[in-house]
Amino acid sequence: MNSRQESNPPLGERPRIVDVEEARVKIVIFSIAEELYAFYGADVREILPPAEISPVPGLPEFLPGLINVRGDVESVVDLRHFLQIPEPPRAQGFIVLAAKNGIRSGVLVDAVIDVDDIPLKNISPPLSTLEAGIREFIVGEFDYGARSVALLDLGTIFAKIAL
Amino acid sequence: MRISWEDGGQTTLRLVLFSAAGACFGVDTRQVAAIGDYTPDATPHEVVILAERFANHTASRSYPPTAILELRCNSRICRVAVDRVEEFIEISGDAILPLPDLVRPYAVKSGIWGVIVRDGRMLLLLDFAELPGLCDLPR
Repeated sequence: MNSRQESNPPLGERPRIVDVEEARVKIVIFSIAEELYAFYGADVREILPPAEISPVPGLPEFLPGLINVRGDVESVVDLRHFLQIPEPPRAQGFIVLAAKNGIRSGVLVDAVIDVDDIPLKNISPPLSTLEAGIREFIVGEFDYGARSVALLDLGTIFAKIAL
Repeated sequence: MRISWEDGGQTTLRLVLFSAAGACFGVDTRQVAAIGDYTPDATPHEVVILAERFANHTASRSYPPTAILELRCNSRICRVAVDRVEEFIEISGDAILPLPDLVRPYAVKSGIWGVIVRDGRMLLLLDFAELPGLCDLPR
């Protein structure tokens, strides 16, 4: 018997190499009224510094107006209405330019905290104790240090606004 | 009164620019018959205060009206009071940007149909004929 064959069986008989690397997902963490929220990084196009928002008559409270992004006009969404946050928006908030299901818009946030890759398994379903009105906009939760972050469903939020 | 998106942006549009309810507007000059000063006690006809029609979260940033636009209505005189008339401009069709998807369904109910960015400033294109209950402007 050939000793080489014993130590190196043909390719088809070799045990497969198992990819043990965890599936990870990029997320953008931000704050609104001291609470932490996140979007999937794949939905975020750009993070814009505080900008003047031009009001448009007739828009509901969750659409404060329009911004000029290098000559393009983008809408701005204020999530406080959907997350049932009573505090008014911070005067100099950042704007996360996001896109989902063919709809693009800026989203007003107080501050962008981090952009990170986290293991997919770290995202757990939203707490069942959350109010139904808020839970429909949250796809999951994960820990960031000692704090909990709500991962928001941008598609549902945009669909709700788009009438 | 509007430029069609299908004209390839070749059409030009003359606009009168004015402010109301904290926003800047442009309206086709063909909808405006005359412009005058707003004097509350000396206004002979019913006047629509545009800032009041647009009263929402922007209203706190509006100022008392100073000017009146007399519109070309079919059957009666229709006057709209605005905060301030600024200037007349001419723009080409390709300068007009469509409203973003999320804003369009709400804005069109206020007669707003497009946007132009001029010197970094956002101007909302307003069609008085589409502003509900204002007057019977030809469409």
